[in-house]
Amino acid sequence: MGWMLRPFAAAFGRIESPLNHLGALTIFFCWIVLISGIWLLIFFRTSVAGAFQSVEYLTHEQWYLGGVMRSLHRYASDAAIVTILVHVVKEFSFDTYRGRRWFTWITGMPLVWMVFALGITGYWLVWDELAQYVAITSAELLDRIPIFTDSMAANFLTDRALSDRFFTLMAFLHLIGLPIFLVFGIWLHVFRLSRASINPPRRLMAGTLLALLVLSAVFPAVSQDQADMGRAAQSLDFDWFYLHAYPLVQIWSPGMVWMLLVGISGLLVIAPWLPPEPGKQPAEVNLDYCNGCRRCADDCPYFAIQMVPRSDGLKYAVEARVDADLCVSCGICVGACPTASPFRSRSALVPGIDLPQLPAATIRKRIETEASKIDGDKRVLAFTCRGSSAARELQAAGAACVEVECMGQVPPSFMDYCLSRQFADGVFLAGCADEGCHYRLGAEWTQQRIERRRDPRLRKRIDERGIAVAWRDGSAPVAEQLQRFRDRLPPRAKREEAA
Amino acid sequence: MRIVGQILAYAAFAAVLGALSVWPQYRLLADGQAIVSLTFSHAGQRIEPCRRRSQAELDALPPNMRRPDDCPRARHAIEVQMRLDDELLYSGTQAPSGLWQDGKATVYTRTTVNAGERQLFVAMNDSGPDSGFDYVLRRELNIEPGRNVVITFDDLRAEFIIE
Repeated sequence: MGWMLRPFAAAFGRIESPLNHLGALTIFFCWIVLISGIWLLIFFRTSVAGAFQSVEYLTHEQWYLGGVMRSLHRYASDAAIVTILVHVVKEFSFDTYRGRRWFTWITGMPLVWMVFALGITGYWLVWDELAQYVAITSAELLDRIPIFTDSMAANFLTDRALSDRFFTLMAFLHLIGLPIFLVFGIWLHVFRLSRASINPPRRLMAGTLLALLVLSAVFPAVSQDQADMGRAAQSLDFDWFYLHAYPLVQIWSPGMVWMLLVGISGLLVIAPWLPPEPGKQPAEVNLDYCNGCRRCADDCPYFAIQMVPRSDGLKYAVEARVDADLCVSCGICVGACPTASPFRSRSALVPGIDLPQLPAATIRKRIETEASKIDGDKRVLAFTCRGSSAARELQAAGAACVEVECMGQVPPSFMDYCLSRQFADGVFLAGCADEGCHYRLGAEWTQQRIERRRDPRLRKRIDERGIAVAWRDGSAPVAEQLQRFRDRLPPRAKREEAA
Repeated sequence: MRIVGQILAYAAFAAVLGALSVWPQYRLLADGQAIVSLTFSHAGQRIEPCRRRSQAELDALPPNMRRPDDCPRARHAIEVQMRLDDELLYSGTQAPSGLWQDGKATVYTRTTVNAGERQLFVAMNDSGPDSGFDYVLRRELNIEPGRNVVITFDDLRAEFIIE
């Protein structure tokens, strides 16, 4: 997936790359669909004769507004399918759907079905030849579910069988029923995500809206011939985003198509446990060192830490409590903890909150061990995220590497420790890009801590030139970025002189 | 340079949306083809006929259940066959719906056929196996290309009709 991120990061930058805002872009497209849909609804007539005529009026008589709105409605709906598809592929390939993140993954599955149902019912309402085909084929699919006694498809074969009330039903489903469930589904989807991004950056919104407007003007959406029950269309201009499974109903059978769709959905639903993520221990609170500062709760990307009344009689009002079912073991809480200071020498390094699988004391030990392996005038110690290939590249380029769970696990005091205790001449942070952070928010919080905009802040005595951040967004190879950092580092003699 | 990259990305995105929303065309019927659909719901005849209950039987029943007729609910499955010339378009047996097998059986089939002068044969047996067809329709049809010919069964007239 990295190869796919690279050109987008180069064109849009690390923050605004559309591949880093796929969920938010989908919601933005839903807004466009909603607003354009309200305009279409004003003129839409829910009757067999009126449905087609009213859409034709919008398309041709009111082309300057209704036609544009109709095209926007269609293209934004199609765009939502693209972003949903890429969103699913990206989360899957970045392995950010397993373990305790199963909830967000699974609650996304019904959303996919709902968006498809919305699109299909929308095509139905136009009541042209494509709508006739969609109606018959959808009914054949629904007939395969053994809950209807009569054939639903029979309602779309003769003019006599079709009534205006059917369009009222479809309009209700398309305009009210499904959208309500969709909004509820989106809320549930982001329920366990702290600071979920539901709006893409403004420039990205403006760019995509402009692209859709231009497309609508150049290539407006139009209806096909009016539905005629006595005739069957020979060929159809087909929306493959929504209707790609429909030809299979004729090629195979409705039952086979259901098996395929339910099978794929079922596989995706159990994917978080295929195979189960290796057991990770949740963060642990060490009450003796927790002063109830709330920073860990503020920074946790998954609402896994709550502040509760103190249970140990210490003078602080609250203490942190970790919900093991929500904790993804990213360690970002450790990076936020002001007691995670490596400078402690009289007592053991035990922060108020720590990650059992990679405690702060172990990170300090590794800094000391790895730093002893490098020498020279511009020694660089790099922190890399777990599972990243950056460590190999950086070690090959002569840097000492300490692997952490997430870059957000490294408190600024550890960078201070590396430089002020002269374990290295420069600290190089090679983490995932903002929205590409494996655990969410780790990169953002780290950047803000280094820039002294977020607690715990980097101490003022530290020369920022000694710290470099190389968020791995694919814009340049990490070894190249390391070399650029080395080139920027002043020689040791000058640094000592300045000190 | 970045702005060029962005314009290219937006243009590619719009092009994909514009193209795949209408293209490639999906071809449902080849030239000279039409659709023949057979669809109806029909309740088969009762497996056991209704019979009059005797006074002794009625007296043995609770007052609210003393119906004069005893009608076992189960119905026969319907057996349906449709041919166009010598081409068998549909042949099947549909069971009655309902837990007690007392509802209507439903037939639905949609087939692509070659247009032209064709001899239609459609028949149904609703009175049990090995009793032959109870309702038969034979008709010379001139099926135009692209036509959607729908054949149903009218329960009131007890005959197949072509729409």
